[in-house]
Amino acid sequence: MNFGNIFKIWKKEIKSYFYTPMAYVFLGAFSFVIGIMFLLFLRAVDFYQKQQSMMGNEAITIDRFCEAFYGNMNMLLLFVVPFFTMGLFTDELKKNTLVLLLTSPIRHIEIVLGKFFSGFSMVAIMLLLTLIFPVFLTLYSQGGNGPDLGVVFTTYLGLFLIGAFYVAIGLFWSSVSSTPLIAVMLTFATLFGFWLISFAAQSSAGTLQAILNQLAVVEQFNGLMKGIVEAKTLAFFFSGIGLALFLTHRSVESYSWRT
Amino acid sequence: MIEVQKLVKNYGNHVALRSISFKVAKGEIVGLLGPNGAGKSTTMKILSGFMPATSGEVTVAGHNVLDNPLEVKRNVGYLPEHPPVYPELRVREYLDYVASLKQVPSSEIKAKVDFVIEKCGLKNRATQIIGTLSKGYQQRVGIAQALVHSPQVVILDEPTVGLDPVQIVEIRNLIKSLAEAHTVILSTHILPEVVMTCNRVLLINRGQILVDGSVESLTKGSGESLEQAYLRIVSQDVEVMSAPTTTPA
Repeated sequence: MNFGNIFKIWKKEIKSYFYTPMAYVFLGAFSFVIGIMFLLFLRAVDFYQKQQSMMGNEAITIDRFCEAFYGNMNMLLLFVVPFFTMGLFTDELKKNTLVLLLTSPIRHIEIVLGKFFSGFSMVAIMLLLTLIFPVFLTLYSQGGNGPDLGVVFTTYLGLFLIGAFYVAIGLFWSSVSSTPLIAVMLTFATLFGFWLISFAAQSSAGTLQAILNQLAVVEQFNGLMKGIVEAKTLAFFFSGIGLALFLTHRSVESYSWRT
Repeated sequence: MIEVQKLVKNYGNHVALRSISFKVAKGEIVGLLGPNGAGKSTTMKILSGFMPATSGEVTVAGHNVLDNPLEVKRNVGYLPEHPPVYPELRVREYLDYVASLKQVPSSEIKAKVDFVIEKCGLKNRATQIIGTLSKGYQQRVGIAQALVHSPQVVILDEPTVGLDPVQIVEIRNLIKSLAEAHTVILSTHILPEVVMTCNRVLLINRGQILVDGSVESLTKGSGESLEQAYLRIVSQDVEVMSAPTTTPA
């Protein structure tokens, strides 16, 4: 494996994101929606806070607020990531440029990893932009007790892992689809499936529930949002990413037979 | 430079190439001729390392395509049927990228890209976005892309498609000039093109080589035109699905 080649592919893909409206549209849309969401959540908390204090109940903690907010950010990622990954291979197919990559002296795995890291970089940019929210909470929360920075760190660790996991799945679907639309739909369906597993887990029992809980992205993320980094969580995400990249590699190898 | 031995390619049940063998020496310009679906593009895809053969041995620039694909790809420049260009990139940017993919050392990229831009007549288009270029210029970019790493073997699948007559002449001269430093295989439907650019012809039909020799050997000195000779040879090859009734373009 040659890291130089991975870097070349990565650089070209990042260029393509920013040469076309792709990057601006989806980075803009995501930032806008997440900003509105933050505002609405703050207002809702404010409303409940007043209600609760009137009833003499416990106030909503900032940690609870973060859990709800970042749980929804995970949901939003599920909608945005497929658009970043849909074109990674289908565009090459459309432009007939896949032949160029496959007849260049580079390994298939280098193509796959270059494209994976470019998709992940876009998600990383997206997530880094949202760091403004914990900064905001720290600066403006009452009494100066903002969110626990350790918890913020593990939450973002979780978001980055989720992002990478979603990108790997999207990359795989892009490599087997003939058009971006099909890639988007299949990626949506898969990511949504991982979302639904947590509901399936809630309504089942015993061994089945235990298995489903391990597979649910939401459950894995819940631990991280409480500041707990468990080996099983890391194992889940890394093996998921690894499996998706492995399948993508296989799919790229089969292009020579398919086209 | 190129050695093909008993090359067979099947697409499922369809046999695209039935055991073809040929050798190409350094500095030759070989034209692949034949009707649509004869196996020209398939042969080129296999030579470029894009597609694996069903059976047979292919050696390019001293390396076996199966055993040593990266070395083969390093020494081959390939222009597929559709130029593999990224419409969102500028010409120079694209060629820089291709050169780096082909493992040209970064210190040499500028010189090599300058050279092919000059050679393919892209000098005043170097900063233009490829998507805004005409078909002919995109084709030139495609040819430039195949030459940028100065490969030993250049494989061109219908290089003059979509070009205007002036450009065709220019590209033919370009191809002829390549023979000094490269070995060239090109495919075409245009018969006079073969006479003008190639010093050897491989006539392929239904996955078999019917004629392998100089352009003169096609007409056998019988005074036939190239077109007549082509029609005679192709129609003699029995079981032709449908012999061309009209003059090939």
